[in-house]
Amino acid sequence: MAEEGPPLPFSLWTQAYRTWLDAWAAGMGVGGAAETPAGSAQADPVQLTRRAFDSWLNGWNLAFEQLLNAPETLTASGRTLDALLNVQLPLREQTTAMMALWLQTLNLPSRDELLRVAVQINEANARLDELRDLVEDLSDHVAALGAREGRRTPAPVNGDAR
Amino acid sequence: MTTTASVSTPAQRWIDEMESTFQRLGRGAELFWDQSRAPVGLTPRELVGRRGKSKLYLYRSRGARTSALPVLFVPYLGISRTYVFDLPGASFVEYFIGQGIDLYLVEWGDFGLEDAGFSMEDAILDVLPALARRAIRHSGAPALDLLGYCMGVPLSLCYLATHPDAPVHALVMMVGPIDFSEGGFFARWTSADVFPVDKLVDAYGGGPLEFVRLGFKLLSPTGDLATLVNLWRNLGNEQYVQGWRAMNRWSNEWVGFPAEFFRQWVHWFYQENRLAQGELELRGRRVDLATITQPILVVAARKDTIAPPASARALMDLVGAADKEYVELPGGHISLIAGRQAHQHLWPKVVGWLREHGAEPDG
Repeated sequence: MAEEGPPLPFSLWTQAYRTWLDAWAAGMGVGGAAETPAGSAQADPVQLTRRAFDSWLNGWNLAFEQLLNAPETLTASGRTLDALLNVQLPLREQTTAMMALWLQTLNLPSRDELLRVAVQINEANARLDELRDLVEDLSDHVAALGAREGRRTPAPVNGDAR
Repeated sequence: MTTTASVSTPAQRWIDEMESTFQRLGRGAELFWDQSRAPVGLTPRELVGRRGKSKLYLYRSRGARTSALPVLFVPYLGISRTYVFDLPGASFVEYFIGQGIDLYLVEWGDFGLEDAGFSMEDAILDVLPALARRAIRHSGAPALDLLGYCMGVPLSLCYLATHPDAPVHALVMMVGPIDFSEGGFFARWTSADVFPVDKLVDAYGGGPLEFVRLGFKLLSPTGDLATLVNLWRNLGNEQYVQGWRAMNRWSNEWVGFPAEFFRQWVHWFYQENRLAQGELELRGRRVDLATITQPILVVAARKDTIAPPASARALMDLVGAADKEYVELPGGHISLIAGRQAHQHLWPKVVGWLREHGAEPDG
């Protein structure tokens, strides 16, 4: 027996079309739907319409997925992105340089200057965090030493964030 | 038994559907005009530590603690917000603390252009160990159980492999990509011959939000439309609507990557598959997953297109743990942990496994 592969978009659309026809038949109370067991969702034209729509949409989803994952599409999109970035990079550099010139003329800080300040703040924050860890480690050591020597131990550093 | 449907039955069904359509139109218009943001992340939490822009939050267990060890939860860096783990009505966090377990959550933070130099080494060798130490110190416990999710899995594993003395008792690794040769769509889209990651990072100064958003949207090209159609069908169900609002808010709030981190993530993991091949080195320290010997539960989602089961399962052959279990659960990458069925599958599985492998409660 042949192994069943993933469904093709076309088979999902065909299924959608058939279900759509069943929905119409059920909606008009004709055809096979009239002979459907009582209470079955098969006889419900609204449910059948929804099912047909879902199949149709799943078909499109699958078609797009297959298209997006085709080697040709991947190569083409990669080349397009590369070409875009080739244009964008020098354009951005020129815009940044020009903006920096204007901002300098207006005696305002440029983006790079603000960025440098932000990086320095980050670094200062990181140092503070390290110092805090160090103080906590020291506090733990002192507490451990105190406990070993049977003396009163200093209270551990409180669990606040800073 | 078969019955001959009366002519009026389908007609009545259409009339009912029309009535329902008018009601849904009203509710849909309300939703459209409602500018308020959906409430998310409502479970109380405490900020107990930080390192740079990364923060450590504690969700305290409700009632008596049933586990001696707290859990450190390491999710993805960048991409999106972590409140997806605490959505009203589908809160992983709420379930956990309701089971009597303290949960420490790592929030990597929002990175900007000033963080361009933040690298994978910074995340794995500086931030994560510091936050783990902080959680240990804050809880007073001798060790932690570690939960990784998505990118948090490789990050956690790299941390453990480079810190053999890390105070970690047991691991639960959920939908984490490990073997990137089985990495699905993202692996194909970011392959070296089609994705100019260096140029992209140079042009944008990081992993830009637009690309993160586009990448995830393209995973399911008609996903947004299907979601709207399902919303339309369920507009009469207020619980569904509120769930949709929360998830819709989350799926439209993206977080970019720091430049260096993004470059390394794509090059080392997606393009060169260094982790699975045992070739990853961080500041000269080799990441050998075989050195990880803690009991481990590896979870994959059957419909996951971000970390397909084959990619996640590869961890089973790479870790050195003798006590290891692999489980494949229904759902996709997100629905596994934040979906409507998560409380039936993933949540009890994780808590149950941790209980089986956990230390005894301290009372």
